[in-house]
Amino acid sequence: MTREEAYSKLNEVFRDVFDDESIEVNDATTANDIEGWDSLEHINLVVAVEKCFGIKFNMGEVAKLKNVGEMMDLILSKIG
Amino acid sequence: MALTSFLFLILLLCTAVMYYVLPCKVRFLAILLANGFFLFKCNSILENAIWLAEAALVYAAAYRTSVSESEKESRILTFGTVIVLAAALILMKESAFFGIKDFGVAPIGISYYTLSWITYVLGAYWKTGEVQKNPFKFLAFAGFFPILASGPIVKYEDFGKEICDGVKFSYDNIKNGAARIAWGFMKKLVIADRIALFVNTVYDNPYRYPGLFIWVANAFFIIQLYTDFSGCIDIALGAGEMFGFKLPENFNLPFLSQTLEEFWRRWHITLGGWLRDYVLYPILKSGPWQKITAFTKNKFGKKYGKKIPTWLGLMISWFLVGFWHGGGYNYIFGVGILFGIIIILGEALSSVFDKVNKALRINTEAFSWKVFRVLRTWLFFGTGLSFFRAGSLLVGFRNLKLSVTVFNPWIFFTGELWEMGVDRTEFSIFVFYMAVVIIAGILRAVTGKSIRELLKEQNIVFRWIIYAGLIYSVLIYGCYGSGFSSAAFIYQGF
Repeated sequence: MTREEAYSKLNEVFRDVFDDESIEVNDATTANDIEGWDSLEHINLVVAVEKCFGIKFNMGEVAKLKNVGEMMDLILSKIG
Repeated sequence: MALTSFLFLILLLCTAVMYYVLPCKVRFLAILLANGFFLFKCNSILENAIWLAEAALVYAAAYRTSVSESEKESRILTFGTVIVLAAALILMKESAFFGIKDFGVAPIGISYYTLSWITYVLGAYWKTGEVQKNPFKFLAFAGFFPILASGPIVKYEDFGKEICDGVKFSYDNIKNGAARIAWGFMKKLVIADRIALFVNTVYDNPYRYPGLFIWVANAFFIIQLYTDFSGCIDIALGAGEMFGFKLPENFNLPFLSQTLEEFWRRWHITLGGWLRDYVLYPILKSGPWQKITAFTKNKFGKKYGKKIPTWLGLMISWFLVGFWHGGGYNYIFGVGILFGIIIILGEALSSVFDKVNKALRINTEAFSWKVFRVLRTWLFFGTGLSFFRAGSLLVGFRNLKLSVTVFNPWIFFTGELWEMGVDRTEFSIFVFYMAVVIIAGILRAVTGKSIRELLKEQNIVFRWIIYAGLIYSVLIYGCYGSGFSSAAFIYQGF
């Protein structure tokens, strides 16, 4: 899967979790850019990402993510 | 050994001299020696043995996990260690919860180092944290003496590399560290210990001092706790800075928070962050919780269905915040469950509040509305803290009753308030230094810079007048007990 393909899938996940069809995420997107992305919604997002890509994050990784770019790097490294 | 004791300052000074005299590579030995001395002064032999055994276990488990090829072995080692650490903490510190009398045996700062060490072991297992292979360097990090007694709760990544490799001498580090320590001393000795006399008088005898006395004492207790705890953290972080370590901040102007939830993101930050990462997240992400979420989503729709399991997880975290403070029900209720209930109710009813605000045509962007929200947050926090200070849940409720059933506004005019251990002169000193702390806070909120950073931009003469004033204040107005040692820090008890 290319980064672009993964991003289009990830976009869908974000739109579904945050109930906002206008969301477009990129490498630099952080929690501050998306309304409702607080520390609690973060877990719902992570679980939805896991389901969508068929991967598992460990808790250390979950807490460490700083922006969507880092999340994407992690996703791509996991789906190999 | 309290961080405000003379002995601590001597230890810090000797360690700093030794640290910078030694070559960079072996500077950790100076810290290691100081850690040993600090532990030796604070703990009994049994407590030191427990501390060392736990440290050895953490070191070995993390090291083995980092080199092990077997996932099963790593998992057993990691979670075995976490269970042992948690069990030791619960047994020695929170036994009150189970109705067991305190054993009177607990290594200093067990509530803090247990959490830091759990982070370290889990970091090794998840491959998200670094692992120190040299046991002596590990001990220099794990027992770093300024943060042993009352935190902050740290990760290896915060300063592990610096402590193990040594940091080059920098005059700025020494000066800034020392200034921060002096600031912490001022908060603790001049403000907290002074106003404590008033708080103690009322809380020791609430039948004699009911009604508004309790309100005033409670307001002072908020100030006392903040200046006590944040002063202690200033000393710890300042000490760290003297060695060139940047330790995590524990406070970020909490009293400007507009909601209780925001307050807890800015007060005791390292504890809140730890509970979020190592308790709340794992609970919410766990299989059973996901099943509950699927069920509630079906039942209550997407919006609320998602929130109900989160609230359940939050309540568990809040319970643990209270539990961590000592296992007493006054803590579990006052600084735990009560806050959880207020925060969750606030979120659950937010749409109702929005409608009410609209109907009443309240301008929620107005400055006055924000001030109201800040004051409301103080009231919530103060109510919870009154249980904290009361010592037991029953006494807490009794005090609450005494504070609302007696109305005695004349105490503000009869001069009775000056007979509570803090007379007019003492009170003026308290007000003056509180004003200094408040102005420093406002300056930081407005400029985004700490008072020390602002001072750096000033001329050297002005800067040193302020430094000298600070030291003079502590020496002249500090409340000392016998042998130049102050009262113990409140959060050292945990």
